Formats: sequence, structure tokens, C-alpha cells
Amino acid sequence: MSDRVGDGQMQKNESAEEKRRVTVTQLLRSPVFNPAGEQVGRLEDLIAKLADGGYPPIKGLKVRIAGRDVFVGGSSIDKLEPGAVRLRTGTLDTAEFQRRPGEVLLAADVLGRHLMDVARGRLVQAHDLVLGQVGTEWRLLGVDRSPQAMLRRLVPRRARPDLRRHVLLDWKDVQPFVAHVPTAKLLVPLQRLRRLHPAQIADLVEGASHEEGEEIMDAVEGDVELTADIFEELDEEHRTEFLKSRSDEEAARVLDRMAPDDAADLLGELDQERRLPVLNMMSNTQQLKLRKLLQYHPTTAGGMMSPDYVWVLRDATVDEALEAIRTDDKSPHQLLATVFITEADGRFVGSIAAVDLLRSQHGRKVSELPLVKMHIGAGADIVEVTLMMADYNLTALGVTDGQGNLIGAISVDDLIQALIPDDWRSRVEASSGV
Amino acid sequence: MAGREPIRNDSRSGQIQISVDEEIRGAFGTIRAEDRTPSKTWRQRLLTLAAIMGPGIIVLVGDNDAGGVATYAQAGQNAGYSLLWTLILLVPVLIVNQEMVVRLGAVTGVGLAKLIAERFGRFWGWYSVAGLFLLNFLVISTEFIGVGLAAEYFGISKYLAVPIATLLLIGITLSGNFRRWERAMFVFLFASLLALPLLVLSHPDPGAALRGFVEPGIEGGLTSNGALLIFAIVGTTVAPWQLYFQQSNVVDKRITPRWLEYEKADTVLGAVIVVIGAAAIMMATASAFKGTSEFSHFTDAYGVARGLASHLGSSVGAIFALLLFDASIVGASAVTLTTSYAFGDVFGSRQSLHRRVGEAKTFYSTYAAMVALAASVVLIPGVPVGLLTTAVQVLAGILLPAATVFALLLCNDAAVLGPWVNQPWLNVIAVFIVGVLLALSTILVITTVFTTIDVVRLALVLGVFVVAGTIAAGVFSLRGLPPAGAYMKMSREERQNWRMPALALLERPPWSPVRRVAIVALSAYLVVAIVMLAVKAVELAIGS
Repeated sequence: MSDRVGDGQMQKNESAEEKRRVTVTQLLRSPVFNPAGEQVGRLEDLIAKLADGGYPPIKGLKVRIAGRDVFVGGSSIDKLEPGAVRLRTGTLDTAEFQRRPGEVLLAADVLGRHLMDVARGRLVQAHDLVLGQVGTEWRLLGVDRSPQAMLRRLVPRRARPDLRRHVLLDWKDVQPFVAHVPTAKLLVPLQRLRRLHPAQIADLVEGASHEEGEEIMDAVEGDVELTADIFEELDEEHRTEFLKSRSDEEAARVLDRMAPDDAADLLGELDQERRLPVLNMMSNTQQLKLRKLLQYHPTTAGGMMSPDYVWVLRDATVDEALEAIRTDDKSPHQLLATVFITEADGRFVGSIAAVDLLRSQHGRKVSELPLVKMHIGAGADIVEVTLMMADYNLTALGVTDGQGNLIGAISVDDLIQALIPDDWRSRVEASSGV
Repeated sequence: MAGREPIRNDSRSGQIQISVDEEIRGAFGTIRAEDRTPSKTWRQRLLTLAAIMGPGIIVLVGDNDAGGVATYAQAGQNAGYSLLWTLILLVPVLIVNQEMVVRLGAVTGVGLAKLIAERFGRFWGWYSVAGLFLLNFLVISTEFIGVGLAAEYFGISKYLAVPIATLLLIGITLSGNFRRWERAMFVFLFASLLALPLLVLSHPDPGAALRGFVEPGIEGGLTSNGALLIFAIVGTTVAPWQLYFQQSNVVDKRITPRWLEYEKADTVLGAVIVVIGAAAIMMATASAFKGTSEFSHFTDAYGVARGLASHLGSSVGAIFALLLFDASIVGASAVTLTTSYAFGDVFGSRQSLHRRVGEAKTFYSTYAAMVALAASVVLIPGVPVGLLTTAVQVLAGILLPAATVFALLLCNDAAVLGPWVNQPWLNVIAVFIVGVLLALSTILVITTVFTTIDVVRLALVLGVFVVAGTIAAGVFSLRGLPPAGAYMKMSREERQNWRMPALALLERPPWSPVRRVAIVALSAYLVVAIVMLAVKAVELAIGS
């Protein structure tokens, strides 16, 4: 969904609807009047209930009356208009205001903070919140994330420009962080995050503060697969940060689902005392793969390779090779486009791209096709690997041991990750920032 | 999509049967297969060296900082040409020390601070970094003193020059561009060649200089002050931050065992250049002050510049002041980078100069605050500059042995270095050098506390210990103890491809007797040093 579509819906019937819309900053600190038109107090905050999905209803107001914060129920609201709140009832319950589960204070808990735009996978800052009257009830409709809205908050209330016609972000596409709200007992619902790609969630985590990132990771915790996917996409620092805050069992479970080469790197980032216990808690197959990778330096071909790849013996046919791609369920996605060919004893013969297989006659032997003979020793460092793959236009490169046996494969994706200059990341973060 | 590249598969990878054994896609793209065969042309070697060169030159030339320039000038002014021989002896010391960390960096791909934490426990890792951090800020303070003195010579108030230098240093750091910082270093290193015109213009006496180089001794016989001057020369030339810096820099440049020979050449080159620079300053000051009333009355670097100007002409004084300024900036930048590297090692890359300000707020604010503090200390009128210099020396004395002992132990760790562990003969030399450095550091620490002690006798006593220790190490290594029997059979090719496996850092190694002895000795030394400093502090507090 693009900005235009979402905002267009919000803006139809403008003039009529505009009267029934008001922003939170227009209301805060406004006088509150009783039906007789007398001022009884000032508006301190608005209380919304987030829990039930859709547009959150305004459940009440926090009004300052004679030096005390008093709760005024949502049903007592007659009118909310810029600079004034009018109540239906004259008699007010003078009980002290208290927070209740599931409710947030819009000014204290949401305004000015980060929100997740779950439609576009980015963080936005809630510079203003827009309320609207739906039937008899006032609801939170959307967020104004424009810089003007931020500036507006700095201007004295009376002099503020009216931004009610401003472009809005629909609340349906937004998920606030709620862990900082006391007593609300709220969680970010996992369902809302599922709309995003794991890489987008990882970007959110990277852009957010540590507490916010922790909140996102807590939300996805129930889904180990998704957690592992996000971990694979996270940058090194955040990976380490979040893995460290997990128990040994949880860490082992996450590492178990990750690609072995990423898991091996991450294991090394844990505190030394935890590395062996965590490794021992992983599944046997993953342990075996990790131990294989850990025999090499992390920046060498052996340390970067995936121990899983698609392979056939040298006398296989093109059909068999294609079938090997179809049935493979362990290799990382990036390595599925290349089939490696070995002797029966495991010695490397060559590799061939899936495209070349598709374009060849089905019955031909793979060994008759023009194979890529390039391979690299496990001790080769990243510079050699990169130059070889670049010079020979390879997307995947076989890694061999001293005897020429194929022991793993490196995909171009592994290299790109390692080669991105620091300032590129900064550049992107800076331009897509909040 | 507008056209695509023709498929080149058939010609390039189908028929050509090239395997890694025959052709190396070397670093920097300029290094071809021939490079690994013995028959290399000099041109190829030089090109390779140019591509690899950097860490060694930066770390060693960067060592001629404000403190270094002042110390060499002091040696020249107070002892004439007679201490030049110490510089010659420093070349092997520098090379042995730095070669160990070069090897550690290339083979493990990990910084020294991290390696210490991984192999000896977090306590020692923290100790190294905390000490380094503190020392580096004291060093920055002395660099600001250098800036102030140089500015004073040109008639600029230090209250103007030091704040500008502070802002410059903080500003460049905050820009978060580590590479740019490193490149700027080369400009300043180039400027340090000013030592050569200084030498030429001062018309040194060749005969006396030659005698100074080959004849160990000191003008006026060996006294406590003379001995301390020698230790100061050693102390300012062999600094702890160099070890951390070069190892991390080697890792950063992705220098692997294959390029070790070139990196060693780089290091040797750096060691020679630093000694030439130091000798130039020493000879220039010796030539200027010999036979004048100021001879053997060193005050400070400003005094030296004035003296050079009055005896040899104003241009020489100006060159010296410029050299001092350049050295101060180089020193400040080098220790800054070292701090950043070490922090990154121990706390993860999040806390270092590699990050933008927003991502490492704590690091940057602490850093800026401490640089500002270091500068403001210098600006306080009547601040005891001598005390600051002493503090730097003492702290270096506490930190250097730790760093070298750890480097030596790590260089004997077969799990980490595999076929690259120290050879027995190198161990003997290294033990001797580390022993000498330990002894010198001990003397420096002791003399700051007990100023009246007979340094010559103390040096003799400690010298006996060093010789005994070296003989013990020699017997121990020569008696066999093949450090890595399996690795000895490795071919050159296998050795060159050997890197530390990730497995090595999975858990801490068990404590071998040698390790235990070394660590106990180190701890004992540290306890003694710290107790003595505490005594000194109490003494100062009561005295004032």
C-alpha cells in the first residue's frame, strides 16, 4: 500500500469530516467546560484502549481539576474541538486518576515516540495523533509523521497552524511500542509483524532503540523460525546484543534454526563461558556442521562456506541434477542455483548453474557440459574468494580441502554482506530515517 | 533490460583449467601467480610492499610524538652525541616486539586486547583496555603540551592553539570516518621528515656522531640521571599502545600470513625510519648546544627551539617547533585510534570510532569529555607539567610489560598460531628483550617513588635477573619441547594458508606451567608497582 492510497481514503469528504477530526496537540492543555459553559479544568491526557484492534476508542480523559488528575469517562465527552473540550455532564467523579490494563495515555505513552509502520516496514515518529468521531465515539484514526507536525508542537498553542488536512498515516498500518507503558500489560501482537519480511523486521530492530528492539524480538519469540530468520538478517551488533540477552536454551534454539555459517559466527560472539554450553544444547546435525565450520578462521573460505549445497556425482544426467535442486531442503536459498559435481569419493569435479542445466538436453551427462572448474581452498581469505568470484562471474564457489574434496560452498550473498562498506549502511539509515 | 553480457562461460571457465594452486588472485589485484614462486622480480616485490605497507610505518613513525621529540632533544642537549648508540639498540627491540603482534594479527585476525581476553580471561582483557585508555588520555595531555610549546614559539598563545587542536581532534573523531583519519596520518608522517633538513642545517660533527653510534657510554660517566635518560629514551620509543595498534591495524588491512614477509619489511622499515628521525633530532640538538652554557641544562622543548634558533639560526628553531607540532598531532591521532581499536575489540564494534555518533553516544561523549579534560589540564596556569610526564612514564611502565608478556605468551600458543608459533631462538631473544623492558619499567616505577635510590646498582641487580631468566628460557626451549610437532612437517604452502580456527576461541585453554609462572610474575610486578604508586600518592598528599 502506498502513501497516496492510504491517505486518499482518509481525506475524502474533507470538509464534513474535518469538523469531526481533531489532533491531540490541539487538545492538550485545553480548558474543559461543563454543560453550563464554565471551565472546570484543563485536559492533561487522553486515554485510549489499544487491545481490541481497529481504531482505538478514546475511553476517557485525564483532566486536571483543582490540582488533581481526575478521570472523566469517554461517554461524558460532548465535543472535542481545537482548544476546547466540552462535557455532557456537570457532575464529575472526583476519584483520582489511575491507569488500567490495556489502556495507554496518548500524550504520555504514544505522542513523540517511535511507531512501527507495519505496512512499509519502517519506523515513524508520532509527531501528532489524529482523533475522529466515529458514530458517537471518538477514536484514534492516524498519525501525523510530518516534520511540520513536530515543529508545530514547539509553537504556542494559539499560534499553531491547523494541520488537520495534513497527510496522515492510517492507524491500521501502525503499531506502537507499548512495553514502556506501566500496568498496561500489552504486547506487540505477532500477527501485525507477520505482514513484514524478516529483513524488514530486522531493519526495524536496527533502527529502534534497544528497548524497542527488545520489544519486537519479544513479540516474535513464539515463532522460532521467524526469530532465526530475523537473526540472520540483523547486523552483527544487534545479533550479538539480542543473543546475549537470551538464556542458553533460547540461544541454542535460535542458533539451531539459523544457517550454519551465520550460526558459527554468532556463537563466537557470545561470552566465552557460554559458547560450549550453547553449542552442546544444539541439535546433533547442527552441532556437527558448526564444528566443521569452526575448524576454520571465520574470514576464510572454510569459515564462510555453507556445508549444505546441491550436489550430484559425475555420471549423473541433467535431469538428475535438476531433480537434486527440486528435492534439496537444506541448502540456503542462494546456493540452490548451482549444482556441484563430485567424484564418488567426494573429490570436486566442477559446478554448473541451474540455468545452464535448464538449457541443456535432459538426458546428457553433466560431466559432458561445460563445467566451472574453479574451486578454492578452505584457507583462502575473503580477498581471494571475492576476486575469484568476480573475475570468473560466479554466484557460487566450491570450497575444497587439501585433498581436493568438496567440503562446502560460498554464495555471492555471503560475500556481499562482508564487503559492504560501513558508510553505505550509514547512508541508507540516514536517508530512510525517522 | 537493455542487452546483457555475452555468456563467457565457455571460454573462461570451461576449458581453462586453473586451480588455486597455480594462480593466486592476490590482494589488491596487482599480485599474480608468479609472486609466490621464488623467482620474483624486484619490481613486483616493491609493488607488493607498497600495497601492504602501512601499519608498520604508521605505528613506528607515529611513535615520535611530543614526548619522543622532547626526550631525544633532551638527550642531545644533555649528553651530546654520546647516547646515539641506544637508538641503534632499539631497532631490534622494536622489530622483535612488533613482529610478534604482526604475526598474531595476520594469523588470528583478532586484535590483541580481544585475544588477551579470550585466552587469559576477561580480567586481563579489561585490565589491558582500561590501562590503555587511561594512559592514552595522559599521553594526549602531553601532546597538548607539545602543541602549546610549539605555538608559543611562533608567538601564538597556547590558550588559542590548544583549544583549536582540541576541537580539531574531537571534530575529526566525531565525523566517524575512520579511513579518512588514517589517511590524514600519512600526511603528518610525511611532515615528520622535517627531521632531515633539521639535521642538515645543524651541521653535526660526523666524527663525534659516528663515535656516539658505535661506542656505548654516556657523557660524564654513568650517573643516576644519565641512566634515567637512557630509560626515558627506551620508554618513549617502545610504547605499549604500539602493540595494540599494529595488531589491530594488520587485522583491519586484511593482511594474512601470505603477506607476512612484506608486513615484516614494513615494520623493519618503520623501525629504521623512527630511529633515523630520533637520531636526527639528537644530533641536531647535540651540535647546537655542545660547548654552550645551555649544554646539559635541558628545560623543555620550547627551550630547545629557542636554543636552536639562537645558535643555528631562526629557520632551524622554526623547523624544530614545526616538528614538535607535527609530532604532537601524530601522537594524539595514533593513541586515539588505538583506544578506538581496543574498545572495539573488547566491547564489540558498537563502541568504537567505526560507529557514527548516534550509534555510540556513550563512547563519543566519554571520549570528547576526556579529550577536553586532557586539554584543560594543560591550560591550567602553573600545572605541574613534570608530574604529568612522570604519570605517563609510570603508567606506561605498568602497561608495557603486561602487553609484551601477553604477546610473548600468545606467540607460544599453538592453538592460536599453529605453525606460526615462536621458534626457540626467537623465544630466547624475546624473553631477553621482554626481560629488559620489564627491568627498565621496574626501575622507572621505583625511581619515581624513591628518588634517591642508586639507579646504577638497581639496574645491575635487575640485569642479573634478566640474564638468569633468559638463560632459563634458553635451556627450556632448547631442551626440546617441540611447540607444535605436527606443524613442523607442514609445507610452505600449508603454512601460508594456516589461520587460527574459530574453534580455538570456543573455550579458554588450560593453564600450562609456563603460563602460570608468567602470569604470577606479572601479577606480582603489578602489585608491587601499584603499591609503590600508592605510597607515592600518599607521600604527595602529606607533603602538600
